[in-house]
Amino acid sequence: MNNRIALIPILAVLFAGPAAGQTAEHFYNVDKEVKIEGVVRQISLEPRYKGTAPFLVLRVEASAEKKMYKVEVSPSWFFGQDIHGGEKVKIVGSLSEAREGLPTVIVRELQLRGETFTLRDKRGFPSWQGGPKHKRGIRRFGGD
Amino acid sequence: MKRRNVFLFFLLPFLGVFFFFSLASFLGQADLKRRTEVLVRGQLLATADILRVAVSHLLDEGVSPDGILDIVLTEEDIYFIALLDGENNVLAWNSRYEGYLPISLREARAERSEIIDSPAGKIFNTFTAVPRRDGSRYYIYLGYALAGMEEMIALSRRTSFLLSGLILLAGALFFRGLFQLQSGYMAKAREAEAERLEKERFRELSAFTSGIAHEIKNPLNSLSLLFELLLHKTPPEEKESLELGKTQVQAIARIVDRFSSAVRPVRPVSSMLVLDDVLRRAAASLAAEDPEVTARLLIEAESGVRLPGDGELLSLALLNLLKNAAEASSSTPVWVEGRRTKKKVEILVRDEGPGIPPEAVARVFEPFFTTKEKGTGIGLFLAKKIVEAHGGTIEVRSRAGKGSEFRIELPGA
Repeated sequence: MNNRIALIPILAVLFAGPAAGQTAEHFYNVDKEVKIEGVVRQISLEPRYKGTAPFLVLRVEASAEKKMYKVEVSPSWFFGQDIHGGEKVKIVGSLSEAREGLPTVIVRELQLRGETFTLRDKRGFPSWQGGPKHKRGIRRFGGD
Repeated sequence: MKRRNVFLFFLLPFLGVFFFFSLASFLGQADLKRRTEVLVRGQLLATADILRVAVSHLLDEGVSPDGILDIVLTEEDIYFIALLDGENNVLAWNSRYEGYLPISLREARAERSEIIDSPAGKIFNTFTAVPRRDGSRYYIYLGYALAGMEEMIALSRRTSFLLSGLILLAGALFFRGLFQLQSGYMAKAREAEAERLEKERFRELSAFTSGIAHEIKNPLNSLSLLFELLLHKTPPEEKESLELGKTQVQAIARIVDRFSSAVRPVRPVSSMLVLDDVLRRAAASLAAEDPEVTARLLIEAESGVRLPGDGELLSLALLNLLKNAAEASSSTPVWVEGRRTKKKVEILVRDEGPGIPPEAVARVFEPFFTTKEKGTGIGLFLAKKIVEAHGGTIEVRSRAGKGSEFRIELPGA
């Protein structure tokens, strides 16, 4: 019985809605980088890209403008940190399309409790992908 | 060999060879990389051309942007692709990596291709205009890389590193061997030089000693004759003193003879000998000189062992060793053993005396070297000369308080 319960989230990850979050405007746009400082108001897991695990998504209220943003962090397995409502965060990311009436920010760097987490590189390459050169010890063409 | 010479003759050529190999390898890698870039860029442009035609047709047929990407996205070397309208708005896109579309829409220019360095490697990308039948324009943004090609370059690089390592290893081993050979040769050359100097010194010493012996023996002969004459003419009560004088003169003559024989070259007259006879002849000579030794002299010879050599000389050599052993202690036994070992004949002379001091062991066969108060340093030197003149070897082992053992090895019959 317990095993069956454990299978549910795994199956949920594998069959997460393929295009549930991916739209034409939803990509890391290097032309639209923003910096936001605010407070976490809500934490959720949402499907974002085709065939990938759900992403950790925060609702952050920007301190300066008192405006709410949806903040796309990373796949939940990659972030691996406890995060709570009411915590202060600093975010560097790309402004994406509005969802549910809220502008979305795809995070590149997230500062939480004084620690900075790099989630993407400057062009938006996701850190959790690592790159094939890390997988087989092969130095890829032109890398580094 | 001096450190500078090692550097000049061994290390420098090796480093030179290694440097040229590394340079050739580096240039080869760079050339391969350049050729690959040209190849991938060509592939990218060809793919972009094909896509332009296909997308243009699909747009004219009214297929949606998402539908177009689903149709055209079959090439596995495409890392990302985006379809944009004339105002550079992204209509649809797809990427291997979540949200990764590294285009700056501000900087995007049609028909311009560039290379993006990503953690996944170098991605070649291009921004291609797609004209429609109605005159409007769309754009395809395409990112492309050849994974197989990158792996080939990585393999080439690894092979190059491996070869470099092997060259380093082989070079190190080769030059180490060469250096050891050179060191061995130099050591032998030094030994040969020392031997030459020693022989020269000995030749000078021989000439000097022979000259002195010759000069001393003539007056000694005259003195001996004079004592003989005086003995005939002297009354019996005075003869004792004269006898003593004569004996002393004869002792001086014997010492001079020994020195002369020591410096003379040894030329054995070889015949077939029986080992037992040689040992017993030496023992008899010792007994004649010192009858008291006979009681503690133990001879053990393997029967029927024959060897070629000069019986007189070999007996003399053994006599010197036996005298040396007998003088080591006045009461302990002296052993002399002879036997055949494979094609050689081995003779051991052993005593149970106090042993030779360690610092003196290496010098016991040197001429005129002695640790005894009344020794001349001739006996062991002469023994070694005789053994070596027979093509044999002699060595000594000694332990403090346990005695000494001289081991002679001669060619057997």
